[in-house]
Amino acid sequence: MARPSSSPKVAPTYAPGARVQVRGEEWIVRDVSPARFGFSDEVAVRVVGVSELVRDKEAIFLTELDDVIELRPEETKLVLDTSPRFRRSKLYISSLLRQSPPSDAALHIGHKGAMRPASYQLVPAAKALGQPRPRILIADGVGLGKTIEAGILLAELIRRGRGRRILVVALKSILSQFQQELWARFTIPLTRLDSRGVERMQARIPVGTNPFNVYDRVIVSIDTLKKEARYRRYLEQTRWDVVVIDECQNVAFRGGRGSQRNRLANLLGRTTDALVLTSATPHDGRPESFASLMNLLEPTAVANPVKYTHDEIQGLYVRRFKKDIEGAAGDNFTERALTLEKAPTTPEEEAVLLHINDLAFKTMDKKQGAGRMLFKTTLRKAALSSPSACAATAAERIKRAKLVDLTEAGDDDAAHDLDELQTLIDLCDAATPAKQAKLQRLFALLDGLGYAKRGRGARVVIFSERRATLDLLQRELNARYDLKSPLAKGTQTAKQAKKVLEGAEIAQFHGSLTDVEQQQLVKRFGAEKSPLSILLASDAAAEGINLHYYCHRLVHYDIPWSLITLEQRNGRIDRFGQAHTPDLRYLLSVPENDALKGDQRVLERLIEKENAAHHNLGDAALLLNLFDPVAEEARIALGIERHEAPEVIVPDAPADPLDFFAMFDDELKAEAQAAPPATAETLALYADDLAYARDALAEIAETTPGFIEPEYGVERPTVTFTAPPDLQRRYDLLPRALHKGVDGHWTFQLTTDRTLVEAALAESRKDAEKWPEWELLWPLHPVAQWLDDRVLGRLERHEAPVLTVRKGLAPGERVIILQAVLSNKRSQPVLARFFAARFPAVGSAGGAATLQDFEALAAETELTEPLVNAQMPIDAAGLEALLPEAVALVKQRMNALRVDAEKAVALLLKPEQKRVKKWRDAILDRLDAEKAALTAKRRLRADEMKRFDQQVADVEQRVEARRRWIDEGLKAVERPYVRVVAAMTRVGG
Amino acid sequence: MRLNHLNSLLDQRCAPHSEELVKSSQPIGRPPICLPTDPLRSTPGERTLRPGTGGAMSGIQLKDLPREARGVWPQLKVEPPQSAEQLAAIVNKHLDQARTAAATSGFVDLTLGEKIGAGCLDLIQRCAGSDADHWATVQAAVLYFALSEDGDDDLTSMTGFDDDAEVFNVVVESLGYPDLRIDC
Repeated sequence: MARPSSSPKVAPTYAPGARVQVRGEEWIVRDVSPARFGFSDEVAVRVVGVSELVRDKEAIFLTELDDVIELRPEETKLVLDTSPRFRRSKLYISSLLRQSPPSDAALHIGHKGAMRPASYQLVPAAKALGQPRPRILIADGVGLGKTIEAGILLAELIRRGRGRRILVVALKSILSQFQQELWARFTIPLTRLDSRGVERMQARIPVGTNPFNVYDRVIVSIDTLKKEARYRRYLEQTRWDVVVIDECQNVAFRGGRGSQRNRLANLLGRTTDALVLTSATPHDGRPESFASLMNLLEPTAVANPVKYTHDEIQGLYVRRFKKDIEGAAGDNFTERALTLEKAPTTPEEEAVLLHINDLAFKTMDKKQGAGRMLFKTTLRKAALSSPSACAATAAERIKRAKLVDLTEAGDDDAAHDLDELQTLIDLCDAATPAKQAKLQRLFALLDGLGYAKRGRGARVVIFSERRATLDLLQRELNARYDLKSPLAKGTQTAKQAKKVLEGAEIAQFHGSLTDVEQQQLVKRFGAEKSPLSILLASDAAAEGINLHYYCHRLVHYDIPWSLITLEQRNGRIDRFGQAHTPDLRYLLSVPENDALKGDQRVLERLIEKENAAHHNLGDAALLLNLFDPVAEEARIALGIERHEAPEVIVPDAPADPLDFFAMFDDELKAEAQAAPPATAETLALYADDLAYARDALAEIAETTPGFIEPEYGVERPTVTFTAPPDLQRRYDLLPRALHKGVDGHWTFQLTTDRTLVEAALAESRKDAEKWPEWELLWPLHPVAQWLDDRVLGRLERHEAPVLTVRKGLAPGERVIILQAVLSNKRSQPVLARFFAARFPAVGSAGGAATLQDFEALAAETELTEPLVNAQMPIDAAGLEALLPEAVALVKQRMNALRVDAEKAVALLLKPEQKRVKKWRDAILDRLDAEKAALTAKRRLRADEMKRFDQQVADVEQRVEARRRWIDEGLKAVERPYVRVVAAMTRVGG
Repeated sequence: MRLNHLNSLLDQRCAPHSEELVKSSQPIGRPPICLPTDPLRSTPGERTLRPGTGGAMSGIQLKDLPREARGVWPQLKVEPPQSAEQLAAIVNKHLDQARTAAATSGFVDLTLGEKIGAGCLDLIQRCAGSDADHWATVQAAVLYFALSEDGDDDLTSMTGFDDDAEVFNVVVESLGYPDLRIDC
């Protein structure tokens, strides 16, 4: 008779899938997490009910409050499986196999998402998984698919039981895009906390509740986190399995005490196990900035942020460019086409430029340099965008410098400058749209794209760095083509934004829009059926967002004075997955007057060198070695002001190869050319996920009244079925967009066909409001996890099935199949194995019981083949008598495996630990020396003492945190969790 | 915590130490590490300066030692002297503990621990009969080795013996036995 152990809670080592008894009911453990962050050994055990009263109910028990009693494996009751073809047994074993976490570094699942990943995209996940703590910066160039790379790693971590709680921090403009991509390709459901999401959340959870404890997987913008002061408090109390920070250059250290973003990122780095940073521009040229990202990944990486070596940051990042991975990218990239659209300036425009050229202010531009652009240069730059932008800049300066007031007060210099600026505004006004060469050129371009006739032309994104220019374009294009042209202004909810943007054919995207407006625009521009065909974008759209789904045309209405910005702009459509030739057009004013031609030559040089860098160097930022768009702009402005030759301003090759990555070029090249990362198959008893689902749904149908028979595809591997209420309940805390119906009628459409999911994803992009119709059926889908739990619950409390097989066993031989899991102190699985304890026939010459890997037994007994269940009688008591010995054998083997695994980890970690010691000693030695030098001169002030003490404490705290991480995360507790999975005998005994 | 451990460790000095004790601390199946008979063995305080390379004076500065050792070193250095047998017993006992710990934990760096242990025994043998200052240094190195919670715990951490090795190397250099240095 099976009975629970009377021993109360001991070490908290509940493995996922373990059966426990709490409050008199039986449950299956889903996962375990620390109950009180940082202060207690007690854990929170998340469970799903198995016994009748609590069947399929989810609950969380705190070991501090409840006795969570693990059922002793030795007392498992063995029962004959009476289901056809031993379906129940195969499902039961399969469910456990599917939940069993891999413990090697090979990719098991991430590469099987709904995509066609290029081999280079598997590298970041493989590299991160190869480290004791998966922390990595994915610094690939623009458009190489960093989101997919992050998704692959996330999927692997979830599969390993190390990705239950995920926080993604992204730019507000791409929250929706990131959320959809991770769901469609990896079925990872992220709850979006944009302004609408926050509002919805506030309505659902009690005041004062930590939202990050309610939602396990969240996507939020750093600005929301920054804006909401209470979030910081919540975050301090929250522990994550994985944090992803997209476009992480925005959280890098920029000097002083560090920005609020930087401090928030440090907080997240401290409260997560795995950390994934992504950025195409991961440093601004200053070593401190890049060091801050490295120290975010590994707080003990860099001792001196001003000067460090490759050894200190080795293994913490990957960085590839299009040129590096062309062989591995397949047909996912298309070569770009670049056209200079030169527009000879009109006399009116020429007059504007000449006036600026001759300007000599009396109240401004007295000093030059220190990264400051002369106002005259600012005006010149604005005029190169449009006369409207120039006039707006001049008017703004008149106002800001109070030139009118000063003039009225009798200031002659101010009067002079006011006069000059007003003349300039008049000249700009005279350059009416009809007299603006670039605008006319753009009209011609758009006419050619089908806009001449009323109706939709081809989709195009037009970049300009000036809001005044964007306003001009919206006005003029609307007037010429009669486009529906709403202006979104501060709408706070998705509903309002949708309403405002309804039917929009042309719209502006800029930084002043709210997050929901930005996301709506990106969605609409990426939806085939959306009428939005012209997106007027400021450089706020140049980072991160995908504009390439139904667009391959990009026009630079003005040329930014930054190679980085140019590269980022182009990367919106020239990126992984672009099916058409990216058509890049650069509109250039060509003045007649030789005195004005210098600017044009510099701009042409920028275009030429960005393109060359795209093909050769990979990273355009290397050319100026400034790694910051603002610094690049200042450098180019200075060059123009000093009349330097374009070749001097933008050199052919990096003048000073101080690039961090260039220093490691050989290693990076070797990595790019290395063999594709290893992938591995998890043992399965079914041919694929659909075959498993088919059997599982049949099993569920038998016990669920009113369960509607699923429909299976004839030509494609699909299943469509109506979700029973317990499955619907599981979606309560998942994003509403994933809810599959209303009023209790939910229909799921799942498939194992990746191309069908990809097609559905493409189809969903035709409509901004739609999510993909077909979802990927694989072990990470919430439905698949529901199936796993349901088939586990088909057996009664503390039971395991007995199968009778015809092949692979000797006469009289009996086998006990067992699962063993070793967990760390955080109850995360670190080593999981399946064994077969084989007991020879009583009295046979074979001797004692032996242990073999279950995989070998499955092959010998052909468990993957259809079995015949002849319902042969079994000797259950005889089999149960073998359990204590089988369990003891497994425990012994697991302990040996644990020691071996620890030795392997120690081998890997020891050099790292030595490095950490060096890091600590280097900093403490430096502080000692600084302190001694100061003390030799005078007595230290109290604040200085405090600062030194704080710095020492910070170092010791980081070392201690690392020690704690090793202790809690890498060491397995000595007591393995063992479960009797099944028993097996030979047909006929 | 560390000092408590140190105190209990040092209390062992009062226990009777003999060749038997050294042997009894060996695990089953392993050959015992015994101090060879040394004609110069003498009682503490009666040691004479041994000629040869070991005659160098130990001039160890705290800054030469790893940070983990700097706090406890002065205290170890002034402990009442123990005999060579007593120190060897301490070494062997700590090695026993390390072997036991290594049987159930892959993190214990037993290889390094064994190297230091053997080095300590060698050093004890070479320095037996040396003057009080030398002996105090040898003894401090041995006692530091036997402290398990110095820096990272010897019996649970993969780097537990690293600081012991560093201390040992500083000591053998200072005493003029560079050939005893341990690679770590």
